[in-house]
Amino acid sequence: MELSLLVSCIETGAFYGLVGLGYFLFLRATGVVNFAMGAYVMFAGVAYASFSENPTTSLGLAIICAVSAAVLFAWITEDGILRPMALRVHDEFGAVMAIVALMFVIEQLASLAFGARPLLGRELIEGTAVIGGLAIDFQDLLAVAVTMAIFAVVAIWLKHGRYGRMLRAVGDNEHAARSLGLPVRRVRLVAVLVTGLICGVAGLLAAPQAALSFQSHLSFAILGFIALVLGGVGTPWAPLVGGMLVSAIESASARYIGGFARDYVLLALALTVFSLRPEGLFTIRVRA
Amino acid sequence: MSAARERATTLALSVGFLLYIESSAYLQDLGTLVIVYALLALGMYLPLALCGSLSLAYNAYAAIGAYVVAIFSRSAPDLLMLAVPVAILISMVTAALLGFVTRRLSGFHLAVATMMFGIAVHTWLLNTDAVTGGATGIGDIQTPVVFGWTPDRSSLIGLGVMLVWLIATAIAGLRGSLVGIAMRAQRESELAAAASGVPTAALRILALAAGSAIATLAGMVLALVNHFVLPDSFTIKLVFLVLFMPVLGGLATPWGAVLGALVVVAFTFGFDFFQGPGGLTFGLLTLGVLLVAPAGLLGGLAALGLRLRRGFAAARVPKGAR
Repeated sequence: MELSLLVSCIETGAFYGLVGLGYFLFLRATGVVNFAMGAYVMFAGVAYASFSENPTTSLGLAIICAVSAAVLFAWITEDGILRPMALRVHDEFGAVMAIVALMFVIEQLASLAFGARPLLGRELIEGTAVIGGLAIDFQDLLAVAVTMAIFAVVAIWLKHGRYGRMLRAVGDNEHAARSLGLPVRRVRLVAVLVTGLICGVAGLLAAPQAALSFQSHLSFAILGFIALVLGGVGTPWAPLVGGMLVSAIESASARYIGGFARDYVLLALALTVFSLRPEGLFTIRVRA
Repeated sequence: MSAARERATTLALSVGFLLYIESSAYLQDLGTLVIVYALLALGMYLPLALCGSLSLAYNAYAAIGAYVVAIFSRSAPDLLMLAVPVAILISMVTAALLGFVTRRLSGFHLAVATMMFGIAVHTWLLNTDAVTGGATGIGDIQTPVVFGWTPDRSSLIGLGVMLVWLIATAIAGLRGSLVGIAMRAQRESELAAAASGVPTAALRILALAAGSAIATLAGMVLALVNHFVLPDSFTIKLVFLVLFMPVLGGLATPWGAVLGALVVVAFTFGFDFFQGPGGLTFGLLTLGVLLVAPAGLLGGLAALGLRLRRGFAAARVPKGAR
């Protein structure tokens, strides 16, 4: 495989991993697989691309607007939809329906606000580095570095941080955590807002790579979910491993079978993982 | 409402609807859309309301129905009637397979697997020109000859309306039957139902397969009435649109799904309005219904009726007796 292909493969894998990490945190906090997450990422990315298209807009402002939109959506999902719903219905399918409806609402909002045309964001930093005879854009290096940093921070936060440790407790057994007096509602909210933040950053990093449109969220949601399922929920690093695997399989299939086969290969991959190892590569054992 | 009265009322309403849309070709177009959406919504309603399983592959099942009819009409027009069982079989096997793979996983896994299947089928329709005609689809679909009778457009639409009535009535019956009760029990508490000997996974797979068969019929109606099929009629967008119908109408009865289809078509006049702010409005409405009034439109009407009746009853009681 050529080196440049490897670089783009790693970068895409880092992106899928980041979305997978969002799924991971949201799942640990609320028990909900939030596939509206792809829509948060898409909205932040399209918002950034749309603002940064105008060369006079400052990048900082565009970044803040884009990331806060993703955080706002995450907050609405938890406090506006999931928590009020959990108070009245106990079965899971209400949450699944609400998440699908929300995904559609964000998609339509993005198309109304930013139009249906695919938008390419301005690069966060310009320039190209030459490493070992291979030219790599600073933007690509930045994307991978930021992803690694986020994973490291989240891993340390979950291991040592105050809310991180409480989040693990809530994720393992919410009732036990509640009866021990943990502020479950606040812990959930913190985790959900962190998820929104991660999604916002993921959107920023994705926007300069490829033109995004309001419909890009479906593939983000699907690939991030496969990254999560493939990796498992055993460690916060699992989604990164899953993301890299998905990205490797995707680029190998594009190279050896053809780009048209992407949807089929991903479907086959998801069904294989679901039937053979739905718990993922890294798992945790918890006494219920 | 008793079952017999419900059957009679809905049959009368269906005939009324049929007579109403007879009056113009434009209304017939909208009526066809109502039939197609109602069948899709009923297909989604069956596993959703009875088993709590949300499948998102309904665009694919409808596409299977439409394209099998189109391909039979192109390659073997004499055997067109055979397309019906073939398409239903393909859909049911696929739905059962997707349900089987995710049988021990959460509803989210099922939703993602079915959504991916729907997307893959749309990609396949677009890219397999030799079989599906690619982006231009397949035209000149013939009308089937049923025992020597060739139904015209109006008769086909009439058959479609009767199909909706039959299926909604059948689902209403299923809800109250032992199988339906077992399905709903496993939705409420899978562990308790399994402990009582309910084959939970098998029931869910059965409901998913039955739902896919109903959605396949929707695709067939679309192909036979329009005489052409296009891949872009079967995008994932169709699934979102259909998803809102049972919720808006109300999940307590299959007629909620039919009412939802009627409401969506009445307010959007087809697919175009849905591209703009219409889609956002329906998405927000659905979220609102889920959050505030989970009983939907029919549930709201029933509650209103009950309150009115109680009001009358209270008014009739003489003052001294209170």
